[in-house]
Amino acid sequence: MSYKIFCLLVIAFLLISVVPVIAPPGPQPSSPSGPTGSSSSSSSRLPDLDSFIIQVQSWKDYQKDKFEVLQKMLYKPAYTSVNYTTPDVWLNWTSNRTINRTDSIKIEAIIQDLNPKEIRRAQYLTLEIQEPGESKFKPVANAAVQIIQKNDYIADGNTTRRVFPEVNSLRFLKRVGEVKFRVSWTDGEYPLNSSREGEYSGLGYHYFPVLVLKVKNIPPRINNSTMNVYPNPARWDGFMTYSASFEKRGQVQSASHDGNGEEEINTTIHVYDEISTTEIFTQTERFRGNDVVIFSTRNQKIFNENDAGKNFTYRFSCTDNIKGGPNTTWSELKPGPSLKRSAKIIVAQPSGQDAEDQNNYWWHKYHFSVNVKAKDPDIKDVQVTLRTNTPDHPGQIVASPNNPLKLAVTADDYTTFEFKDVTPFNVLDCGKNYSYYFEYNVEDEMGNRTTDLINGGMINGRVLYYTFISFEVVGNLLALLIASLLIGVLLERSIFRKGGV
Amino acid sequence: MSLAIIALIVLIGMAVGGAYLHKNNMDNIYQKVMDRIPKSSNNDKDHAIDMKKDLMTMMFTHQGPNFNALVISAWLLFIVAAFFSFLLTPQLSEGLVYLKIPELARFSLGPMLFALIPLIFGIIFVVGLRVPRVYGYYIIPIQLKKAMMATWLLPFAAMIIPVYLATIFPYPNSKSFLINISFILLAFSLFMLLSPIFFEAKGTKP
Repeated sequence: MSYKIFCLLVIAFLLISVVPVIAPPGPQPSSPSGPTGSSSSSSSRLPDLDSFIIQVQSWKDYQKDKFEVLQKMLYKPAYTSVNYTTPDVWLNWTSNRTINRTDSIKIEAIIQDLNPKEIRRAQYLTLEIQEPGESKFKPVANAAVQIIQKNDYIADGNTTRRVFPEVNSLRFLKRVGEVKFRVSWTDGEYPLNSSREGEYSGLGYHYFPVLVLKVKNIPPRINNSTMNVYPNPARWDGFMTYSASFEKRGQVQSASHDGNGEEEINTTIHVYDEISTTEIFTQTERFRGNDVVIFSTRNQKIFNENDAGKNFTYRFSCTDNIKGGPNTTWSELKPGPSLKRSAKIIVAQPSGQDAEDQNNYWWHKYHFSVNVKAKDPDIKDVQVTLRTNTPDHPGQIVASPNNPLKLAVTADDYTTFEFKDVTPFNVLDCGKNYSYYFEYNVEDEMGNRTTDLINGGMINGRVLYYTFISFEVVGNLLALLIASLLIGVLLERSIFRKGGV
Repeated sequence: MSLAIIALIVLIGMAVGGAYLHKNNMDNIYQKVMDRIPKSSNNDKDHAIDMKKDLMTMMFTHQGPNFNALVISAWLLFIVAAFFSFLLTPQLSEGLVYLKIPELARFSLGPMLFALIPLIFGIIFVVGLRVPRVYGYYIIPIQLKKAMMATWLLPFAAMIIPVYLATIFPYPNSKSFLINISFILLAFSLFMLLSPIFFEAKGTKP
């Protein structure tokens, strides 16, 4: 019993003696008297410093192995900022280094900092560009400064990557050619840039101290299949629009450098004469790449009265004004517009109908008429031609001594051109729809020389004009019967009588 | 196959069959006669041909001018009626018909002009094949002769039907059966005109 009590006392003593060793350095709550932790503490359970030193000295002298283990456990190596080394930065690029200006790109930096975590510093990265024809680097205007914090390092603990997300294409370039990128950075003390480094491929990627890209331009191009002029034909003073759309360029269709989406394209409409030798009109406007190109005569007069009746051709040209490469394209030449002739006459009330009844038999006589008045005082007479239209006889001139009909016209009153008792159809038109129109030798108000097709209805399907009980049928049948009998008698008498042949 | 094509095949078959049976009839008669004559040393080929000609001459019996004239007329009317039945309205073809020829359809005597074609063809047929002479080789009983002399009524009736249909063309489906009556009348009239040949071939007396 007394042995057990003795052992407990020894263990208690040892525990009490170890506490000051593992306690954090510095003043202890229980020792407000200062770092010396001087004695006299009647309330403290800790041994005084002298005792502890004696104790440690005794461990050092007599328990060397354990003392060394304890010493290693408590050792913390000293560090200093004197050996701080500046980090390295490269640019990562894994794609083809020849790209189009509008291609989508991703520029990424890799940062390697070999300093201990304790002395690492935040890095402030700025992407710089040397544009074609320039001799100095400058910060990319819309690229924000990227900050690498001390705890951003990944992989082996010394490297990290950072993308410059704002730079997703090189649309902002106004000149194409060789473009150089580098990263300038600072840790607050040293201003540095990546171009001081050598190439690095430590992680299996290509990292460049200076990234050199060969940038080409795809000039804007009009989609030929979308070109259109409307209306066509048109009056010389009518409202016309030329329209087209651009072909899609590159992969990035938005978020251009200026933040306005597609960049602006100078587009010009060129109007030529019919054989495309003389340019009679040009006009340039600015459009964005996803706009519909529209030029109209709303605010711009293109043609004059002398152009009435003529045909024209047109095409577009467009440019993005990017220097250092091709920047202008031309669309194909297309015909249009065809301008209607100026109105010389006014045409009204074209009509046509069965003149005998409403049955529309093909053998019936028909009556057609149209009213014409001069609009141009110089027009003294007009020639009008009547045409009918059936599936078997399209655009047929109606046979009549009065067709075409030429009459004098005045500007005061209408003159009626009448085609009376004409028989425009034949048996092949039975059961089919017919239409008709009038043709004249000068232009009407619409600039046309014909009226529109006017539907006349269906021609009756009945074929023969005579009925079964009629002189024609009875006469024909009797004639055939008599003819057959007579021929029989004649042949018998002349050839077969008395044996004949 | 439309009824018009079937009718055409039947009529052509009857005509070809009649021609074949007529030749067969003549050969049979000649053979029967030759069987009764003892063979002589002059029985060579030229002699046989002469014999046949002589026999045909001896067999020939004139059927009378009225019979010949009416049978010729009946044949002509039959050919015209057949022409009308198939070609006046669209039966065999939609295009090659009388009603599609504007000049004929517009003209009052259009059917008569249209019939000139089969009439000319009929005259060539009657004269070329010596149709009345063919009847001279057959013994035609008086009753059959009378019936044949009245045969022209059949093709004439057959001719009236397509003319009627043409005057109401496009005719309703309910009247399309009329043209079949015309075909039947044509077949019957052809049978009547060839009846002496058929009866002789069958070996029966009408």
